[in-house]
Amino acid sequence: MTLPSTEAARSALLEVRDLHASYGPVHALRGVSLSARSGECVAVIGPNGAGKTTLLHAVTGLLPSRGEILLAGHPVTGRPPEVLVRAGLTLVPERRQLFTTMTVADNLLLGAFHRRRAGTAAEVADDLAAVHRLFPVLRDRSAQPARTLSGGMQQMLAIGRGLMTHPRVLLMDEPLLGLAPLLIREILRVLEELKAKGLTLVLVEQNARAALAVADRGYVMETGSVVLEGAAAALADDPRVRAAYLGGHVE
Amino acid sequence: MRRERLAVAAFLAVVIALPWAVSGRISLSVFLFIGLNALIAVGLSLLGGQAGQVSLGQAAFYGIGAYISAITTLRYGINPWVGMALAIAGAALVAYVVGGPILILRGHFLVLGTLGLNVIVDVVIRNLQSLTGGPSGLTGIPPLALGVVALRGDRVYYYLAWGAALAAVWLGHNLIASRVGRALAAVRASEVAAATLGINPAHYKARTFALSAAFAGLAGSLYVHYLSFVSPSPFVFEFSITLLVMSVLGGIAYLPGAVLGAAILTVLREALRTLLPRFFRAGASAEYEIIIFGLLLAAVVIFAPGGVWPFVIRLLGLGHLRFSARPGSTAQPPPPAPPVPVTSTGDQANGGTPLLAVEHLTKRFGGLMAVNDLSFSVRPGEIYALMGPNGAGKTTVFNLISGVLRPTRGTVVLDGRSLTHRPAYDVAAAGIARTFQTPHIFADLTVAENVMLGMHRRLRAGFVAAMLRLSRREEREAQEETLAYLEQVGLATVSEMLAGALPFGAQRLVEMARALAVRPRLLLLDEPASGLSAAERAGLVIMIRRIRGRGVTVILVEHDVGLVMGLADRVLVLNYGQRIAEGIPAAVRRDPGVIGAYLGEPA
Amino acid sequence: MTLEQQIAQFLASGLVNGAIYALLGLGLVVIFSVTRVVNVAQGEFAAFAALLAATLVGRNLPPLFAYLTAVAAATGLGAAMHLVAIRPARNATALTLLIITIAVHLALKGFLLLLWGTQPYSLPPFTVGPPVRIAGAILTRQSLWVLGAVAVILAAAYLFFARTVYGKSLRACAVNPRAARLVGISVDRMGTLAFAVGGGLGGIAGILITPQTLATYDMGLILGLKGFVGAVVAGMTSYPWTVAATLGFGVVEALGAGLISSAYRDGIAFAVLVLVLLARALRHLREGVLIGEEAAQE
Repeated sequence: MTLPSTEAARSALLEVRDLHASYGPVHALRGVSLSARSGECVAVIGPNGAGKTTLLHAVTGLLPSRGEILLAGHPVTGRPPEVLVRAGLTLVPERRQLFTTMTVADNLLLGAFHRRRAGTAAEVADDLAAVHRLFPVLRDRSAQPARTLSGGMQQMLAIGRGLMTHPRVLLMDEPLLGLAPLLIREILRVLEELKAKGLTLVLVEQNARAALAVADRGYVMETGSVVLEGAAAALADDPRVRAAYLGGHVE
Repeated sequence: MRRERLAVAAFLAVVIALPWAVSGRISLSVFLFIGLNALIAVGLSLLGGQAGQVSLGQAAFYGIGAYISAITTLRYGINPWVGMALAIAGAALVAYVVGGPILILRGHFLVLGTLGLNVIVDVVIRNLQSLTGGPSGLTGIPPLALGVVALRGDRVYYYLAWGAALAAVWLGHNLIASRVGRALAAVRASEVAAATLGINPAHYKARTFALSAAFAGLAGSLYVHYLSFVSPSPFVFEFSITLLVMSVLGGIAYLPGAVLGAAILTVLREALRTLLPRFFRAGASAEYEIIIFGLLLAAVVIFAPGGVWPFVIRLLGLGHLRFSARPGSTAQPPPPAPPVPVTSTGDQANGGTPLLAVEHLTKRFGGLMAVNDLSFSVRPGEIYALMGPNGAGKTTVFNLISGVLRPTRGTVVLDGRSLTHRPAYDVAAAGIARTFQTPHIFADLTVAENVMLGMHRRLRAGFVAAMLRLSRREEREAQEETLAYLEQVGLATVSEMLAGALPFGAQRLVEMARALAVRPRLLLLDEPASGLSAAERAGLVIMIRRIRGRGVTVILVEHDVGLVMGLADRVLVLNYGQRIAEGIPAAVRRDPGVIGAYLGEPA
Repeated sequence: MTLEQQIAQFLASGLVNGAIYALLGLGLVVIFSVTRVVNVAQGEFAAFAALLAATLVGRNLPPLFAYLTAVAAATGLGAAMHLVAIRPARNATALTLLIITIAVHLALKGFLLLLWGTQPYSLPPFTVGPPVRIAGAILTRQSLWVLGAVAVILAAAYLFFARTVYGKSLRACAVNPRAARLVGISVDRMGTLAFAVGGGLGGIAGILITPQTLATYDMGLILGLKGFVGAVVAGMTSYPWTVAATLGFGVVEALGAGLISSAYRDGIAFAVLVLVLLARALRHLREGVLIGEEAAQE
């Protein structure tokens, strides 16, 4: 792992400390702490029901939580998602929550909603060009309604829309879910590229192998807690990860 | 309870004595109209508080009742009591015919449908001159009579109106505490959960609506025989709003609140009629009235959504006199009964034929194939598990089997009987019970009432039996049986607690006991272990084995792989809505396709 | 008049009324799709703008200024209704929100009564001149103004929803409120915007209709409900279908009133509403779904 070079990158860009959250009577997060340094790609893996999605919802303010969330050192706990997006914290939600009846172009445009005022047009156009470079297919399908896209293209559009918010930290909820192997490789290639550009990524995935292949560090969650953390390469070979998925509990 | 009984007795004494006490400037007719309005408002509160629906057409049913009584007695010489019965039946029938279908639509279309109905009834009454006398109305309507004694005067009709209103409160109160009341509470909380227990939501809502119209029809009939005159003006849409304000002001969840609301608003209306003309231009005072009611309605909804009644009982210290949305079962818990057999199944005798056969099951959500040409069958007495990563389509399969969703293609057959495209309440009646990923328990009902809802299709009491308390024996027996189910899951000691007050793990068990009370042949458990502690999981495994031991076939969706491996006879693994493996747990666990699906393909 | 001429006349006047209802129906759909509120007070926006415009014109202000002021005021009234009555209760049940709009309807009607009394007010036709004969039907010049103005507004509405960021973000909130929040759209603010748009559309409808029918404080409810009929036919979601359905409804109403009896005019209108609800219920029954597909995917 490369050493952080700038002053800002030395401390964590996103820091979560002792986060608790509940869905109704279910205590779904039981004191989760994690951090992501600037330019780092962090994977959060674990079996179904471990609380990974809940973690993302709590961090982005979709779900009320207790604990501490710091973005570049500033506390942002309890802020709603529409405010956090402006601060640079963007979630690419699971199951491709797109504006299904609207066109691909409109979906991307709405990603830049908080930069709608005059003076940002050039910047938005640059971002759009960058998204089109990453996913050329989105330019070709600009005028098509999002719901008519295939699953893989919908996922690309969801990531593209997230990038249009001009994030500092991009949180992604199971971007590989339900994708065929070829498409998984395509998305992973894009994630590598985003990483190379210095974007900070928090990747929540059930697909542990793929996620750990692209990540620098990883966290393994089980029943609302982080049970393991470490360098991605080390986790990929850890038998305890396999145990977490296919039976038995991690000590 | 003595204090409460005393309060009720005191109230009745005041109601009975009042006609002999008022004199001079206060007219008894004001109190008479409180009774009539209360009668209608109680119906509206039953509809709103129990069925969760609002009608803006109660004035129309009031009018329908009034005109049926007027026309049958005046034009056809029919006995007024028979006319009254026709008035009640006519109002209820119109409500059922119009409301029945509209209530199939969820959401609040009934409000607009009833509002439309009110305008239609008003237009018809004003224009059907030959029958209704048009805008000038009908006069000379004969009074009610007992034998040859004609019933006339304020006092007689005061007692009739108040008798009817208080009877309506009593009938409604009984209804709420019955099988029907439980079904309505279930529908209010979750139509999906109610339907999977065999309850047809639209059926119960439509009948409650018809009942509320019947109360209004009776009020209309009493009204015309009292005044011996009828014209269209009292039955306009504005009066429907006034009635709604009465019911919301008193507290729509409380039937006595409707009486209180009717009293407050009727008196306020009288006061405004004397006060307003002093302040405003003449001719419009009736209009100003509606504004004040509007502001009152807004204030109540925003500042005291529960209405005035809860404040009154707190003020008088009558905590037990809730008459609430749900009074709770007042009966003492019955002594513990020996466990009853969960089912008397002959499935084992069927040998090789499957209990459940699913063929080519397909569900498409827009572009997404959630379930794709899936076929499998489950043998009688088996514990069968569905596994697969997130989004594999497991819960969708449950929703398709239980009739909550309709398949795009494919068939579901239970023991030779096709359940394809059957609504969820019929699937439940055919013997399939289910639980949900997040327990769909009815938080405002007691644990025992939750379980009794599982027995819904085996109990008989309908609206009439429930209102007249003819079902007490059935209820007692059901309560005893309920306790047996609760003992099976270890919750017998908390049967009278509100289900919502239990911890999460216990809520799952309540849902399980409720599903057992259906006496299912097939039990679908959707992630029964999620959110449970390790100890609770161990108990769950024992419980599921015991349920199977009683002859119930079990299908479960579960993420806890270890739990499934130790419990299931066979496992079906899904990915992208398709089967990727099926077989005994040990074999499935070694299947490279399954490992790939769970841990992901090597990148 | 021959029967053909009569029918041509009913068709024409039905279209003119339908155009007015279309504006109210669109307002209801904008509000419903963003906030899930069925706004019973929709017609009050029309009544308010019409009465205000009549007063301003009565004070000898230029009509165009009066109309623009009144529409702006109705727009503000819509936004204020959301901020004061709806937004504080946004977590309440659909039933409570509905009762709140009924209360707002009554309260607004009350204030209109206090300020303007019970007497009717009129606005001058936008231009004077003899009626025009088109395809056998005789239309007043104001009718042509109504049709023309509604056509322009519909075109503007189309451009707003299809081309502008705010129009698109309103649609985004309707399609997927959670996703909208995740791209930085405040669903609360969009609710206020939706009510403002609904208020503005209602206000325009009120001003357009007044030269033909006079304005009274209590004109709103019936007008709003007629817009609602079309909106329900179109499923409360589609803008173009709402316009088509409200126009169709206007024609049915005019034919019914003309060929049966004008005394039954409102009765026919609401009979159509009840029939539409019944038809939708039967379709729902045939499809037999218990939960929406969106919910099933959650």
